[in-house]
Amino acid sequence: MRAGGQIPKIAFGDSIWGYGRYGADQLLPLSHDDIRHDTAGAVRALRGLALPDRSIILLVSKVADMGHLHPVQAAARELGHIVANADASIGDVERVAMFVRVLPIAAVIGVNVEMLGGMADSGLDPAGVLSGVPVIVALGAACDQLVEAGVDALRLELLGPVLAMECRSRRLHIDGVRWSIEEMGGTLRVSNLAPRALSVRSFDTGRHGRVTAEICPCARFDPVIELAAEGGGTPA
Amino acid sequence: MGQLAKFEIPESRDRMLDRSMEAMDRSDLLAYQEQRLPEALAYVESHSPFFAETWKAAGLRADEVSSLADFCERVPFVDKDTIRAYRGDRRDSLGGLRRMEHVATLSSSTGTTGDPLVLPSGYGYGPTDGGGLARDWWEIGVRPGDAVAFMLFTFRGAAWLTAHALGASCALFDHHPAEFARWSRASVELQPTLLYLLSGPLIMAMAYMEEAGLLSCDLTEVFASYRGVVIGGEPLGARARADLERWGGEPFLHTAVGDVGSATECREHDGLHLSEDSMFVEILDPQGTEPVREGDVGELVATTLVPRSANPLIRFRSEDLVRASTAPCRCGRTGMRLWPVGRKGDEVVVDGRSILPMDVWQIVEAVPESTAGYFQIVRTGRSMPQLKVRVGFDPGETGRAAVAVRADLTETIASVLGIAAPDIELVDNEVLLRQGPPHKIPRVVSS
Repeated sequence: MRAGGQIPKIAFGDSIWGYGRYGADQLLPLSHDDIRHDTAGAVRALRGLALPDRSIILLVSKVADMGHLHPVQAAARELGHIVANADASIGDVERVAMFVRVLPIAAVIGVNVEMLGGMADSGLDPAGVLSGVPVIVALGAACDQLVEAGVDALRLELLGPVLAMECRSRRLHIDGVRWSIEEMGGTLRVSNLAPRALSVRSFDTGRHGRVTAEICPCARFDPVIELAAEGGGTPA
Repeated sequence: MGQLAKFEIPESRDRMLDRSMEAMDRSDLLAYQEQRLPEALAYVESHSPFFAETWKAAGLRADEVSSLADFCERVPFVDKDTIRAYRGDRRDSLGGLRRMEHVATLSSSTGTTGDPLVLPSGYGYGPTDGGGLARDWWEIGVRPGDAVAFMLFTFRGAAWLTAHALGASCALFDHHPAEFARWSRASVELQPTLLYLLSGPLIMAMAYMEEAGLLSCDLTEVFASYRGVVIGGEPLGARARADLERWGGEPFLHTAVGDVGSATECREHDGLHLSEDSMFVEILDPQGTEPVREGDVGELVATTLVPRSANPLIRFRSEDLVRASTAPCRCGRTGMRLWPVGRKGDEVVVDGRSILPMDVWQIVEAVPESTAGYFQIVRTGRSMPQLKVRVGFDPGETGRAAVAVRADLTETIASVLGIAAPDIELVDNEVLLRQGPPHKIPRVVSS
């Protein structure tokens, strides 16, 4: 199945949690079971950030991406953290700046390019706003921009229906309980290991990269992947 | 279907999710509020340093308040500025509203009128806490197994959990025109019954894209499954309403109630219902402390009756100007209904005439080049020698020169409002759209 391909039709019933988004414009169907299991995966991902107990996490997201990120929010609560929300859009950057200014935020998760642009348009220096936060987790290109600006940002990637997040050891993990990942023909492909509302076999994420065999120092057993820059070849 | 619902689901044809509360006799409702009040005040006094100090300074202990009459006579008012001042003075990021160890989630006010306020909600989910939204959606027609489409932003938290509480599912879309195509396809495929929420700016964008042939679908087909479209952010302008109704969307106006809850129209469209079993609402003289006569414009002052889980706000002066009625609605509900009028700080007086943004709105919309209704009053003070209005302008609409459009707006506003010629500044629509949260424009700004 190619990225951006037809999603399977599923019956609309009480097992359906809802529909998020994957790729640029595809509906991501999720069952209540998917959300429960993804929350368990997100618990491991958050543990990988090594946040202190009762941390305040600012989750910045678009609503459509909450299919991926609602489990992160639920996991944060499960771990006893406190979550604040802001929209990852141009119009909400003042709120992000306010939260960072008035609250002892331990992590900002979900920073995107639009938000960084909005900050710059509003006369806010993104690096200045975010550099005091101990952990910044940013989506793909936003992560690159922040790192270039000297901010110590970790990477978050939405690989089709799968979320990948770096741990504090800077290894990019996916949930290995629910997903398998392999390199095939130069790109990374994912398959679900257990039934999901959206069942995929060898879904081509369209991203070049590789799966490493290393044991991550963070002690998380979930697979570690290395991504090439978008449009690039397999990383060396 | 429905076994996942958090509420006891009544018969599908019943218009009320919780008839025992929603249609409660008014005297019973007041008794119910009076019964909940002492526990709410005791909780706030012991969990909110801000209120504990404020009340102590007023010589008040929570256990001295045993009736609604005591409450209205003795409990001091608070507002955003007093909470912001506490936040600054005490270096308490939560404004003293709640201690961090009791916080479950942090949200924030919209920030339309200044630095957003951090709002800390707590743990616990009682039988009526947060039930207001679910009741509103039930009345509009959401039933277990339905899909609810969310075209939303995330800063208010996980609103989609209300869909799950009703045994429905959610379909998530950004509050942005870039999502129209995906939302249109999903609407046809999933047949959602509710859209939460649309705003004036988004409807205008939809109309523009329809006219420009940028939508690949027939909007009447897209809206066909929806029993209601919840409108948030600000009131719906006449032009946006007409467009939505032309597509078959039935708008249900919706507003926050002093950051302790929300209110939404029922299918009678005769005022916005609030759930008075979880909040106590007073409508007071905006410049004073006395209640206004029922039906007169007053300031909404809100008190939560469920502070354990909701934002712990007591006698919070919202600055929202509303009319209210406690007469039973034709839908059978007995709770208070609201008709939002504007914001307290929005009123300006020009040539002795009180002017609110609503007064300017329809005039701006009637001019073709400013038909989107994007405008803001530039305020120099409550009393102004000349009205100044910044108007969003699309010269492509008719090709008329800006000078002619400005003259048209100047003459119409002056004649309709009965004031001297206003100062009109034309700006690109985008300039105004970028100033606010995604769903509204700050209608009044300081010069």
